[in-house]
Amino acid sequence: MSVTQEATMVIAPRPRPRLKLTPTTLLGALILLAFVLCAAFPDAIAPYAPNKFDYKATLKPPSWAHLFGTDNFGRDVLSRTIWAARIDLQIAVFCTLFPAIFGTLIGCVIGYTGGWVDSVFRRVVDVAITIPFLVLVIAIVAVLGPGLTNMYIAVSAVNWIIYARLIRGEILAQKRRDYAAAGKVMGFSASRILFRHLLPNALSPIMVYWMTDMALAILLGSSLGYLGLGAQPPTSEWGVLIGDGKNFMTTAWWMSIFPGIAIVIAGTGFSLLGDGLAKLVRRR
Amino acid sequence: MSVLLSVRDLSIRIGAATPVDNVSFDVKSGEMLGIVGESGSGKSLSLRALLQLLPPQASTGGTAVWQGQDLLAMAPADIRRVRGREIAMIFQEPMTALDPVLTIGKQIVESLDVHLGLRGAVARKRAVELLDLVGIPDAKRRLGNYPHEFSGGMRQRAMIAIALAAEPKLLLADEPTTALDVTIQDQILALLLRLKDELAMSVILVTHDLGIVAGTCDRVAVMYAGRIMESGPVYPVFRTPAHAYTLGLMRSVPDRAHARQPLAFIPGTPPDPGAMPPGCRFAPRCGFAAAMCSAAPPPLADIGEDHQSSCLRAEDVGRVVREAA
Repeated sequence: MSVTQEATMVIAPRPRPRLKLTPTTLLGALILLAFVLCAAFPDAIAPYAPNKFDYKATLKPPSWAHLFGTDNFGRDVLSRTIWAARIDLQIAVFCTLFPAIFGTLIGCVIGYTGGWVDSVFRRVVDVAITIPFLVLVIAIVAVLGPGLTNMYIAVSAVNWIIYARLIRGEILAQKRRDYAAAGKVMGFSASRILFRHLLPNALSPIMVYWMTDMALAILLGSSLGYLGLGAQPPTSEWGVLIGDGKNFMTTAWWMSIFPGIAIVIAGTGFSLLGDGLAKLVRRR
Repeated sequence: MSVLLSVRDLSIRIGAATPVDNVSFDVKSGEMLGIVGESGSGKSLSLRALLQLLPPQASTGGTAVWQGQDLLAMAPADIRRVRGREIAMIFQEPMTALDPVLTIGKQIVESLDVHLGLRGAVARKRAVELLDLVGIPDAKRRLGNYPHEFSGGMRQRAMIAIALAAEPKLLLADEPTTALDVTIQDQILALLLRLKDELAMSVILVTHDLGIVAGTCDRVAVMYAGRIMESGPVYPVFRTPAHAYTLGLMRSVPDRAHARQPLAFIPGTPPDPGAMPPGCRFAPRCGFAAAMCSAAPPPLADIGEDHQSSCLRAEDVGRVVREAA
């Protein structure tokens, strides 16, 4: 076949398939959108100020005036739950952002380098995962002192290992693929091959895990808040709210139940969105 | 024609085995050299050794002189500058050798950036030219496509475009058409031939297909079990083989003159790389083998103009060829 003939075939490329969202993914996205709105404009959405005491209306059960009831200082539980979204979403992001970035970078280098670096890392992981995550974080917070910032430090110090382990496996798999070898043949530097070619190909499981991890971070943050090691009263944080209500559990259940439901719904939102992302990634 | 690359006594050792042993060949500027051999004959390994792309457990001996420097002895930083810029390589698997998450355009531009420092609109313009050069229609729009939107033949074309970005002087093609349909094979080979002439580069084409070598190459080196058996210009080597192995290969190609007759084949299997025969490595399977063949490895000797053979019974092989003709 001659050279002129070879250029005559024009094949129209298929249009890229539209990203289809399943109903559950959409539901997850809507839930998170609602929480993000609460976090962004709490003063517009919440009917009362979160720390406004009202000693004439303490421990009131849910009513039209106070949909979620009031606490022992007469603060509106609905307003406090809405304001708490701001802190809890902040926890979800700050507890995962640094570990995700740092762990990904470390995992990339470890997976690409291999050899003794990799062996050392695997031992570190083996040790780290034998210690329960929550216990480890509580221990670190106990040393550093309670508070949100110290909680971020404690979680980041531990959580990156999971990301590093995830990305290491992916890089190991991607490293053996032909385009990595092709990059080497092209005379590309190791960092170019690793960060421009291997990393983008290895990133999808990280994105999916990140979603799940944000739900876990909210659980962790509220657990620490409940234990008095995370956000400190009078800050509105779902764990703190539950903790505030624990002494009134038999008489004023609404103080703890509604923030608890908020945690469940937020966690569900992240999980549904994460599942949807995972399906999307797997289909490719 | 001047000699561009001169490989002398290239040996590759992996553990106790020597899958490539004392291989020597020259590549002249502007020529296409074919290296043919069975699977495991060491042809791909030899190619990879030139750019120091062997696995770390392999060790190499010999020299490969390129522009006055020995490729095999270059420091990692120096060989990296040769890779892609002076000597480019394309592979058998165009399906997987492109990065799936970057567009074709980005990958060509990246090569232009790394090797020539071209960026922005200049690089994009050059990328369109390159895609055009390798015969991809509607090149401008195609730059935005991802590899999965390309067919196998188009991906190999794109690979060639990326490899040619830095205008290398030598292209190493490792079975570039093996994974493609026969019709596409033909197009890619025509493309390689055209580009070789247009860009005045040399090509080493590694393949197991004698037909491809006959149709495209200027010279050929026949490899078996890690050694070069015979080398020379394509026409004399294929027309009047001077090595028992080449003769066996030629006889095992189906042709019209012997239609409906049992196909001749070479009995036995290639030797185990860990336990090579002491003399000629083909001797145990060879119909011409004599006692001297198993005594010591026969050297590659001149038997005609630019034509070498390592067969001790080259004259007898030649006589058989002449009688058959």
